[in-house]
Amino acid sequence: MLDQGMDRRVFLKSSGAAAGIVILGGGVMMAADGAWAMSLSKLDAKQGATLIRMSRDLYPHDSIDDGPYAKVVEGLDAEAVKDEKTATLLIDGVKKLDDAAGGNYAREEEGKRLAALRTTQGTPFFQKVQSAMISGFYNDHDVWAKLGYEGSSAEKGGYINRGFDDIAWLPKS
Amino acid sequence: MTKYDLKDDSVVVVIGSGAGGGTLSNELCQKGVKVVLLEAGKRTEISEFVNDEWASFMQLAWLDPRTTSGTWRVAKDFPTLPAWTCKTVGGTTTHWAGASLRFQEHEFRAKTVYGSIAGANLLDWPLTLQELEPYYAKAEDKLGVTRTNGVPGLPGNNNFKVMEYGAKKVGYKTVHTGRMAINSQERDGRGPCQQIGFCFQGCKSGAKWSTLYTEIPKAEATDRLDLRPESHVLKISHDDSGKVSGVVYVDASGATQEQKARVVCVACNSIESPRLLLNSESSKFPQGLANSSGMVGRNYMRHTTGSVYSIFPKPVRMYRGTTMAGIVTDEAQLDTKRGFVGGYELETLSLGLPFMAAFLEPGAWGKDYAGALGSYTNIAGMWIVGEDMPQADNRVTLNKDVKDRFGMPVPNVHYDDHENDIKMREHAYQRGAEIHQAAGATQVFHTPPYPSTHNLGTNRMAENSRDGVVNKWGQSHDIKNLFISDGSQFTTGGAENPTLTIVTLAIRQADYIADQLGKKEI
Repeated sequence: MLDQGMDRRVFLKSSGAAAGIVILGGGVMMAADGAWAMSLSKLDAKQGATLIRMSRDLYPHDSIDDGPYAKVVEGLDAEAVKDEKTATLLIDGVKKLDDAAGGNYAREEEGKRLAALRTTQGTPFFQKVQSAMISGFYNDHDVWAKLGYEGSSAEKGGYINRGFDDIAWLPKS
Repeated sequence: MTKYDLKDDSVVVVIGSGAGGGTLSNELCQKGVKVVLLEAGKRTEISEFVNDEWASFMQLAWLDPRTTSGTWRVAKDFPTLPAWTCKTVGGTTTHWAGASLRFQEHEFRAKTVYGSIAGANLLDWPLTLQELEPYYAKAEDKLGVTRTNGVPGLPGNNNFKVMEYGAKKVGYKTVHTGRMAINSQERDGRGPCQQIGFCFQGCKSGAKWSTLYTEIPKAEATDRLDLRPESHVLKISHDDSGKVSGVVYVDASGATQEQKARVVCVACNSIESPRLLLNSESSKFPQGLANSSGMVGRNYMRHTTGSVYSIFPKPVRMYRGTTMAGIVTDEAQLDTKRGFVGGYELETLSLGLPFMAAFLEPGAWGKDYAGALGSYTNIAGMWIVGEDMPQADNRVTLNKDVKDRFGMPVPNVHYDDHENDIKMREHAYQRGAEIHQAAGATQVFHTPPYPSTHNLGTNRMAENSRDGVVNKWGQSHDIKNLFISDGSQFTTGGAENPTLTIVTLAIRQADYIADQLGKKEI
């Protein structure tokens, strides 16, 4: 299904993200600048867009585009394919979130979105997405790179010769 | 590889291969004793360790089902994960950070020194620091503890430098890179620390002491050790006289076996050890083994913990280098003027970004939280380790509504903070914050306790058999050929990370067991 919108595209303004989201249909969404693409099987494009926006509202990082958020949503979709309970949890949860925001969460402005999001806080749906973000998004090597975490070091010889004690800004004590 | 027959009832069976069981097994083998060492986890070697927090957690952590209750924060944040311990050959010595501190003299006499504290079930240890000193010395030599036996301290990393600067600025005197069981120079066939930064994930260089690649191979070299990984013990059996006679376990192939034994030593950490004794109930021992006192599972301690993480204007990169090589010991002293009894250590600590996201403030979300994680490189961290009060109702019990894959009831871990614990934690949060602020921190987080790594007290030592489970040798008051060889025998917790004391008690216990075997007392 192709969504409505100019030139058969829907641009979802997402604060902080440089790129808009292009919904290509058939469950495939991509960044307007081509930086990332996401393929959904169980969830539809609007549901996917709501979840991406929700994920970013939970853990907003201006320096990170929608790609790593979309990866988390793709993971949730894959789980929904395998498990009907998860599918129901996500689809019902997204509907409630969209409804709480007046119909389309992803298109609302921040204040309205956060108010809607708070109505779902603590629900199994909210916890599902939150825990997917904590264990998925912050374990994504692209996110590590953006936030400056260097990851595995043993294969590089540790930090013994690579700055374990290189702090230079502390005053002389 | 040495193999003993299942019917060989001349062997000592040790259950658990961590700091207590791994050390005890080696010490006994060195004295000529035949040992069967049963370990629930696999044998994962250094080459298989990964510098990846989630992947390593899945590789090493004890993930069998457990439940929680009580008002402690862990029950809310991690209801099915009360403890972060390991199920692997080497046990939690694969994960531990290496901090190796002796208990202080007064901490063995908590009841006498602290007096009667309402709600606390304090007791003096049935032994003294003086009695333990020669064994502490042996343990420090075995572990190669820095700042003992002429072993130099580790170099300070960025996280330590921030702590050191702030601590000195606020007037603390004893600030250094710790007494660590991590080689600062080549020793005992293992190289020096490479400042890898993944101490908790299994040390890839082997600089950190773990029974996995010290005690266990040394015991194997005697040809007296029969190590059986992936052997999950279900029950300890006994004969008509009430002496223990063997252990029933499920082996790597899934088959149930019974190994006969002359002596059984339980070293499964303070949650599984009492669980095993309770699950070993019989018509002769309906309350579980070694439990005439009713103390098995009670007085569960976990140290008063918490972390202080602070954001600085410029990068710290706390994750680079040894995780816990940094300590302020000034608050560990005996000083009841602070409004609580017992003391606490402040030790450097870092988490990688993945675990920082999970632990900094569990459940938090939104701009502020993401903003803090976005400042990850500018964060410094420290951990609070303080003496918590033993309470009779803080306890490990069997949850008969939840069964593990072998059909055995899982442990429920109940814990309520004592008023003394809360006061101490608040004091430590405040002092930790002042240290970081003195070094320029702009934002401070009081991070709640993680799942417990210091699990203590659930089979405690007591002079009198009414007050505890084992005597000063870790020997059951009720059953003389049954021993407890882990931190569950601690009478009280002290302010110190427990591993050095667990190893010390294991070395001492090995002497006693060998002596008693020789005299045919057991």
